[in-house]
Amino acid sequence: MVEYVDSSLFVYSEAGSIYLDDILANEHGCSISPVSIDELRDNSATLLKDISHVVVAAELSIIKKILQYAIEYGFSVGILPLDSQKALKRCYKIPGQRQEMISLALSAQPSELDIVYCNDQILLFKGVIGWVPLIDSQKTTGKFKILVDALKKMSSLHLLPFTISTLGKSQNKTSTAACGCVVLETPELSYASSMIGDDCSSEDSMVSTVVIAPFSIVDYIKLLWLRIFSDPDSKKLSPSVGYIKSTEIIIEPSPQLDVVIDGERSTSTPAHIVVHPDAVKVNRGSTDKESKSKKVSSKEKFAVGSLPAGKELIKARHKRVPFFTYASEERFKELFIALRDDAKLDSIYIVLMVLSTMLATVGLYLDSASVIIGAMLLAPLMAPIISLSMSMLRYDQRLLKQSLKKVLAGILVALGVAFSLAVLSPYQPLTGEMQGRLSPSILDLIVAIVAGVAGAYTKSFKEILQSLAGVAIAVALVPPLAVAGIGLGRFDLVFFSNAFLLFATNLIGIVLAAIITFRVLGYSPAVRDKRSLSIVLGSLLFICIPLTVSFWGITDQSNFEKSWEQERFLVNNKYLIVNDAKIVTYHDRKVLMVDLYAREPLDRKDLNEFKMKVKRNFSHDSLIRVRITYIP
Amino acid sequence: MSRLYTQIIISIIFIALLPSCDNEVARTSTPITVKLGVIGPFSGENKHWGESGMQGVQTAVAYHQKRNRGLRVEIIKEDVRSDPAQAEIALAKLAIQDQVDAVLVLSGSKTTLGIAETADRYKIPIVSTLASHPGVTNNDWLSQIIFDDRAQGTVAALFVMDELLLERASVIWDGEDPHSTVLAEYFKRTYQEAGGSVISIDISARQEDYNKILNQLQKNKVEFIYLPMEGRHVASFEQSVREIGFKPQSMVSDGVLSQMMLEYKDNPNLLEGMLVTDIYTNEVPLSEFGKSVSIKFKKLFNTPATTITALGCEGAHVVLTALENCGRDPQNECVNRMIRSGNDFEGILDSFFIGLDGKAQRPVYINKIRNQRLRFLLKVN
Repeated sequence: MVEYVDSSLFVYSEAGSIYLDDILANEHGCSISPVSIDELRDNSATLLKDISHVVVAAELSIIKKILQYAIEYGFSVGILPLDSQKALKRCYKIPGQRQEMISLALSAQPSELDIVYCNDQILLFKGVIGWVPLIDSQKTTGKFKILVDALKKMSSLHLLPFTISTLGKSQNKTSTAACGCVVLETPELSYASSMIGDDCSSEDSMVSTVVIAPFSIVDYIKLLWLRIFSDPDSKKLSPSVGYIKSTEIIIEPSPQLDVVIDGERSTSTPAHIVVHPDAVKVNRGSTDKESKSKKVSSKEKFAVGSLPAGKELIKARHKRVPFFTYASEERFKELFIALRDDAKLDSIYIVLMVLSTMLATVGLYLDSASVIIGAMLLAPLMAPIISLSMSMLRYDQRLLKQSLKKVLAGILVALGVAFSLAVLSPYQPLTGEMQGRLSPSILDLIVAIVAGVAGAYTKSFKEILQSLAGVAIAVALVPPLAVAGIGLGRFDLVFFSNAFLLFATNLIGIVLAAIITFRVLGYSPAVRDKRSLSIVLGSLLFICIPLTVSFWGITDQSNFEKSWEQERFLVNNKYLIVNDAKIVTYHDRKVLMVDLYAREPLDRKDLNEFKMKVKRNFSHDSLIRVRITYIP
Repeated sequence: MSRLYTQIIISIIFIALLPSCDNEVARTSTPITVKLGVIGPFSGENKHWGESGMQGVQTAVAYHQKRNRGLRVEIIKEDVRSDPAQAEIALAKLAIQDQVDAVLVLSGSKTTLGIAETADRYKIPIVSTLASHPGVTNNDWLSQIIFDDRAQGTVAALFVMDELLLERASVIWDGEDPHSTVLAEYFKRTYQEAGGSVISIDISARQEDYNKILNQLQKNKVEFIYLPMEGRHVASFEQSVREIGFKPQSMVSDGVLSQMMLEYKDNPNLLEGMLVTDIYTNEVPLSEFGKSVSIKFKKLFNTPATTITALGCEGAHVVLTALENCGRDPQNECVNRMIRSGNDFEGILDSFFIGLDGKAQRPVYINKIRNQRLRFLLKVN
């Protein structure tokens, strides 16, 4: 049974006068004394003395004034919202029908609500400090509009130093950098509110603050992605967003910023936000949904882990945010511990390198791809190379030295093992698997780059099976090293240098790709040293010269060999079908190996004629070797 | 100081330009005027051959005149229709009355053989562009730029036998056309030697009753038909094939697609799907010479180029190159020696050479006709 007040003052502005007739004729028998806001201003002490209830229908600033009077004089407040005051209706759950509104406003069962002051000004719903892209838009905003707005603002994205302190039960303070923050007193329809699960209420004795700080354009895009594609009610705090909940919060950006309270530019920072619990009695409606939902927690929160801190602030002070994310070592402590462990040289690594190289060498001698793959599975090269890449990206000299030492040790062991096996072996074949590693080209660099990306990516995410990328890297490293070692064992410097060029190509490609991948994934240091990246890029450019030359050579050779598939010869009326043609290098000379089908036996005269035709028609300076299969 | 820089820069520019100036000087320093006789069918049923070949000749002349600004070429055309006797008279006129430096013959084998018999009498270098009959070069002065029919017939037979793996073939030929006769003879001989069986049919004796011929071939389960005939005979044959519905794989000889394109414009797809041995293909990149003359041709003429055009161009190129190499007052012996020197001449697709016997050594392309284009299958060197 709802009880109603016996009498009430009705304070109204010009816009609120629309309720005058209806409230005077209210059906609850309540005696109404109407008073305009101007009269109240002039005579507040007299008019409000001994008043137990006031109904107000006016602009938000007047409502706040009435609430202030209510704290002072101890009366309860009923609110009749104007048509434009949708947030007010939502916040105080005011029904839509006018008679219902009046009934609620005249009810004698008010709720005790908190009042939040921001620099001594009442904050009813929301306060905004600085610039809060993406999170301040309504949940229902169209995806396309969000995208267009976000892209427009992307170029001007920048962070400012912020100091945020809480003075509640637990006192915390953080120095960070952010675009801005949103102070929320009541749940609203914004994305910021839904991110904290509408964990704010005017009855929880707390005020909530959501801080947005995208480290980089990449982070901003991630946030945009989540904003567009994630469930708006997922109640998940996005990366680059911090959340603070307390009874008293001080927000101090540098430089001073305006504070927009409930849509009006009202004050400036530093913003001292304080909650006065149960400060005012307001007639507030309720819904079934609310009654079913759990009560909002009154626990303080200080979730600022995803905001820039420590050395990261140096970078955050830049005029614009960088494209790629950066991080201090503390942020990825676990990963860095693992990388440092990986860079330590130990006997297991040496043993595995010996075994994998032995297996690779035998596989190369046997021309067996499966044995070589077995060697790749054993190879432990991935870990130190990934550590090397990270150390170069972050210019961590200790990690760089350790990982470089380990990689070099691996190279020397592999070369030594392959060399020894080649010297000891009386059998010196030139197998297809060996040949395939003697003509490095730009395509090999592509393989290495993909392997490097895979390696860095898997290392960054624990849930991905690391050995897969390890194999990819081993593909590019162990067999070429073994071939180079075999070349040394045969004292053939061309053999060695070609295979070693392939190895160097792959190593540089993997390191560079891993560096770039780590960078994209946000592992750049907050304070970056460009020296190491320049060294890798310089080496890459240097190595690209022989690779490109080799690539064009291979392309020419491949085109030439392919064109031979459609070549035939009529030699002294004998028709010769070319089955296959290949150019191989034998003792530094190019040899054209032609596989022919012929019906009649070929004599020396025929072969000379064939040779003459080849020389005349194909300007390829090479020796010619022919293998003939006779057609019966 | 600035003067020194200026001198250095001028010297560098001078040195850089030196080779190109040198070439230009070398080219322009040998102005020659040549009289080029051109014998061909410029009227009658094969007039397209003459017209198309002549466009090639004019293109080659324009190409040479651009390279050698001192070159003047006077072309004297002799229309001999397709008559060997008229061709013989035309050669005499060009040699005695007009005193030309060289003669180009744009006619087929039948007409060119008339010239071949008397070529030695006038001692003028003669280059035949279309005639591939082996008898054409049975003299010291007439040279071919197209491959010999014997090679073409042999290649066709061995391709069918060894690559298509078809062992029952038929050759339908025109006994009144020497080019057709040689192709058929060599195809049949080579094919049989390789183990295949051939049904040989001379249409001159059968009065072109293709329906009857096709019925006979169908009964004998022939898998392949070789058609070394002129375009008009091939067209009639193909029409019968369509009527009867018996369509084994067939192959035509060089230049037939060009003839069809020129003479059967209203039914251009008559040869669709047929194999063809030809001097060219549409799918191999042009040589540098080929690219240059192709641009020149497009500037001069608004018609599609055919094999006949290309051969006309190559023929004129051979003659003009030989004439240029023999200096300001070229002697016939020198020009003939240059033509038959065995040195490479640039062709539209590949280089080729003409041996002492006057026969051209060049690849035979095996193509498939698709949308009036020669789709490249194989190149027989």
